Amino acid sequence: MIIEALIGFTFLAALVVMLAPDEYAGRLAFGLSLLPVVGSLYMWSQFDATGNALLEGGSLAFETQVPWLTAAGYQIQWFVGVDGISLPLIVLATVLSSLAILSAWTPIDSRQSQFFGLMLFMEANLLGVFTALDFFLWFVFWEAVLVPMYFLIAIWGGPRRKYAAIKFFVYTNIASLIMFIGFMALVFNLDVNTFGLPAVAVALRSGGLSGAFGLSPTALKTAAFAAMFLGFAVKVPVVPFHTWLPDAHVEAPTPASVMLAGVLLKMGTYALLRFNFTMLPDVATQYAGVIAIFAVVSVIYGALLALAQQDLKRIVAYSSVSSMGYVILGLVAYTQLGVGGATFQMVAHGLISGLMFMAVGVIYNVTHTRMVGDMSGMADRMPVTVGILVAGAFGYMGLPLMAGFAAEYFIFQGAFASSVIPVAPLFTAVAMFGIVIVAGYLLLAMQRTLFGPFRLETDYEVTRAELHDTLPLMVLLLCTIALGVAPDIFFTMIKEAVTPILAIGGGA
Amino acid sequence: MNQWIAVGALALMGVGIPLGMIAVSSLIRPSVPEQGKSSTYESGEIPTKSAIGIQFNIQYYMVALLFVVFDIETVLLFPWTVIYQPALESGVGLMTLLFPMLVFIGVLVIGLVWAWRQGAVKWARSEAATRRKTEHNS
Amino acid sequence: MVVYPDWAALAPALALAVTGLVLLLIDSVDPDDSRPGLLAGTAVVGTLVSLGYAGWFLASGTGQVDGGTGAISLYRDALVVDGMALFFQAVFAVVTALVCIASYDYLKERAYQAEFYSLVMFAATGMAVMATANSLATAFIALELASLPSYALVAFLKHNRGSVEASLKYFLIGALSSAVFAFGISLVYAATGSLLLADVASALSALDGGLTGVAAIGVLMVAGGFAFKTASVPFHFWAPEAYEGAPAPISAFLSSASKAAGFAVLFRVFTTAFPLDAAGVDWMLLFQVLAVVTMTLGNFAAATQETVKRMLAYSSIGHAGYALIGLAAWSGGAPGSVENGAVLGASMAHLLVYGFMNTGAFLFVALAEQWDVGRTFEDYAGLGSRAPMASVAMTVFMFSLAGVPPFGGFFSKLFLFAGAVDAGFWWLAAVGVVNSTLSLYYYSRVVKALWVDDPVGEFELGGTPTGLYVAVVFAAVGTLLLLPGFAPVIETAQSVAAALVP
Repeated sequence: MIIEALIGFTFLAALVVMLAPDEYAGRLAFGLSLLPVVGSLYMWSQFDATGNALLEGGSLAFETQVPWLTAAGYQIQWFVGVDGISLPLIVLATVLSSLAILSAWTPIDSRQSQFFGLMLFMEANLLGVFTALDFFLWFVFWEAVLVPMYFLIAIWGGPRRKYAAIKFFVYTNIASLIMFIGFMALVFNLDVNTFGLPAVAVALRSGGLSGAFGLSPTALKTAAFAAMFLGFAVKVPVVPFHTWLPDAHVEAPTPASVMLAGVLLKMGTYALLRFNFTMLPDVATQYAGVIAIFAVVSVIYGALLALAQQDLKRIVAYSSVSSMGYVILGLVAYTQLGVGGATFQMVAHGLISGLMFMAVGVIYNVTHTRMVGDMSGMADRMPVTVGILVAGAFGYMGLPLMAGFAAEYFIFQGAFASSVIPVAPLFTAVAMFGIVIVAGYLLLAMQRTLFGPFRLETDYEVTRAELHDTLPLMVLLLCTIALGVAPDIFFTMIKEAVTPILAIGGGA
Repeated sequence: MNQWIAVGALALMGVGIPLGMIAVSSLIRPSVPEQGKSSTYESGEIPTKSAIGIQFNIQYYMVALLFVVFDIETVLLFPWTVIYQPALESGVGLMTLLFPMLVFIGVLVIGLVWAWRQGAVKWARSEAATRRKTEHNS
Repeated sequence: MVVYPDWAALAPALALAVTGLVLLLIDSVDPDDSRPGLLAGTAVVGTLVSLGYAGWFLASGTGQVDGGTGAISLYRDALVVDGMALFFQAVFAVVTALVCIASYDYLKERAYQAEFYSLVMFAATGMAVMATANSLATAFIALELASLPSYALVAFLKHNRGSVEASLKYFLIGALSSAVFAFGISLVYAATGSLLLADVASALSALDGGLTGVAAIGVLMVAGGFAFKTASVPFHFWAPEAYEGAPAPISAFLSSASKAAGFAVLFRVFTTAFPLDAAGVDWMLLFQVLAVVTMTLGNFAAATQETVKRMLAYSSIGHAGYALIGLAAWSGGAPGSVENGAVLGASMAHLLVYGFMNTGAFLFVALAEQWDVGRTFEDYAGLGSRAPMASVAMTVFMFSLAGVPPFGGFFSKLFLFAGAVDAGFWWLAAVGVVNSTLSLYYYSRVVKALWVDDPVGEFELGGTPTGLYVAVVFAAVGTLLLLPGFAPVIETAQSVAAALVP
């Protein structure tokens, strides 16, 4: 029941904040958003699931399964539950939402109640995405996340916000549609009578697919895999489907960027793991080389694009593309360390990219510019913020004892040992080269903006940031270090949840 | 092929004869254009105005509508009265026989009362009509 | 237990008729419309009574196969009360109630209020009878009873040229299509010798060649008559004009209830009277073509509109195309089988959801007309911060109409398209999906205007009309609740649709 309580409470909180007066909306929203954090931590403490949620032998934590309606002979259910893959993401979503709300106090200066209401509405739907185990339920939440994000960008965004919001909306909606059709094609030709993901996954893995539309079962599987991969790849985003991301990030207000990079991108990789790599391991392993190429291209191309940017936010945005490439590489490796590391990287990257966006946002709040050439020597004026930003950047580069290092280490080790990717060591080596570029652009940008003599091209009085601006940064930094020092707090459960996935894929 | 040919032929004749008559007469008649021929025929009187634009008082239509309603009522009432007595004698209940007609008349009465109250039968209320009348008298 | 007479099954329709008469009586006592609250209140109570009866009958199984008495035939089979009739009567009652609540504010300071409400009631009565019509004659009479008050209602703003012109166009096309419909009926009668749907079906099946052609032309013409009422191609020309010129609550009424009524009688006549193998014309092919043309034309035309009301009018044509899939992909399987109900029921459920979201959308336009903010998309800019509640409701309607997942419209479209795919008409579903995607473009323009765009100039909203607000918010809540509550709706719709063919 706790999942229902959390989602219901967050929806209710969204409604309450929506109706609250603007002056108190931020404080109210932050207060209300703490309860989901506590709730998710409580779930963590009571977590007792074993194995993978979708596959045989797994047991769910906090499971609820209620029939909802029957469509064309298929049962649709309210079916939620948590396993070792989803729990870390739930914790990430609640914590990051709360901190993003806190970080929004300063920059959001109009229509606050709507803004914070939408943030909470999005959080509720994100919780739904990571807990739903019925395809329809999941899809409803999945799409519902888009609506608040569209408004967040379109109303509170930068100068080109309308274009960015529409682009975001259209890209991700069309992608969802393609994915939807792909999944439907699978279910309709499968001997199941439910849209429950576990049943579909088990049936697919045991090879119960019949051919349709003149395609053989294998061809149908491949086509559906491609459709779903395409649909999720837009969300992740994987190069070449990434072009909506920089626009959305640059135009979005900072708290929305935090959510976008920190949690929304993870929806894509989470879905890839749940659908493509869990349900169709044979196709995934067969085309592992192709997917690995996508992954490595994302890593390198994203990093190179980041290198060419002048806008701090764009730099972080493109580096997200690069980081998500690691996740794909880890997933396709089909080793425990690879898939587990990819899942771990989702959390780690959520924290670190959230940190980076927030820090850039804090700097922007006082300087009103994000251009690398417009400022230098910010370290003198904002020591705390800059300190955290530097620490976060090192986390990005994979400094040991930080979450990013652990994640990337797992992924590289997993990918290196992969028996699925052809010439795995080569791919791994090329992907590792991405880290060098990351280090390059981050150091370059920081050296130019943060250090050296103070100079600012805009006419604003630079003041120290408020405590409620820097507090979320500190919390995120602490979380990042904690996960880096003791990755096992999540990694143990992740490993257990990903192991059943490898049963066919890894061995084949 | 079958009896449909007859129908087709009849249709053809029906359309063809009038068209033919018009065509023939337009061919053989003399053409003498004259102004008087295009004027409105009013029993030998010289027309004073064009027929277009003469406005009847809207009340005429109202009364006509009410008349039609009750005309149709009569059509329904008549067969009912004819079978009323025999039906009663053959054992049909009074309610079954009387009630539906009462409902029907009731509905019409509501309509009539409403129309009456709205002034549908109040004569020459419109300003235009009053004005025309006074102009005529003066 | 009290045994009710059979005619009591007509209670949903009778409640509407009686309310109309009561309104006339009130107006006779007080011809000056000095108490608008009483008029609106009476109308709303009447529709709610009708809704209550329909809901009660549906729940208790009256006229239904499951747990009920089976279809109740009245007046020598001229009328039949079954699950489908009750389902549609519930839709009409809901829409009429919303329209009446909203009209209270819209009609303020206008003359002829009592007439307005009673005309709405009589039109609703006609629709309720359409849903029960079991003979071509009653179908025709009921259709006229629904249409004639509608003509007058469209012209209600009689000093507004647009309103009068719209009414005249509506009337002329209505008269033409009535003539076509009546001619079609006479041809069917000529071929089969009966007007009762069941007798027509058996006579058609027994037809030995000679008159099949006549019957086929009759069937086509009957389809034309229904195309008018449902605002489908080729008799759709009136819809944009009528919806734009009419008072906005009437646009809501016509585009939701009147359209649903057209579909009610269309579904019944074609599935019960014209068996696919004997009708002499493959009407499934006909409706496939009509569905594709209607939804494509409606959506493409909607995408090019500049005024919101006209966009909604064209989108309403598009939705008629979706609903036509119910017949276009009809399985025509064994009588009473579940497959018969699947796609037809989905279409009915879509009409119910559509009743909420489309009525709500038009009522929002009524609200905007009341505030006098203007008609185009640009004029709606900035309304989001002035009237957040109504704007949230409108956002819900727009996304729901587009079929975006978190709202009721998503499920109804999904079931419709899934039903079409299941019946083997995946290309119909594909056209529908493409159209839905296109529709997102123009629906989101409204949302964008409401929330994102900055207003062109300063403007003040004159007050908050309570009735309109209540109706709009109620419709929005209905649209939202139809997502979790879709199960009973679709199950009822599909079971009553399956029972349609005895």
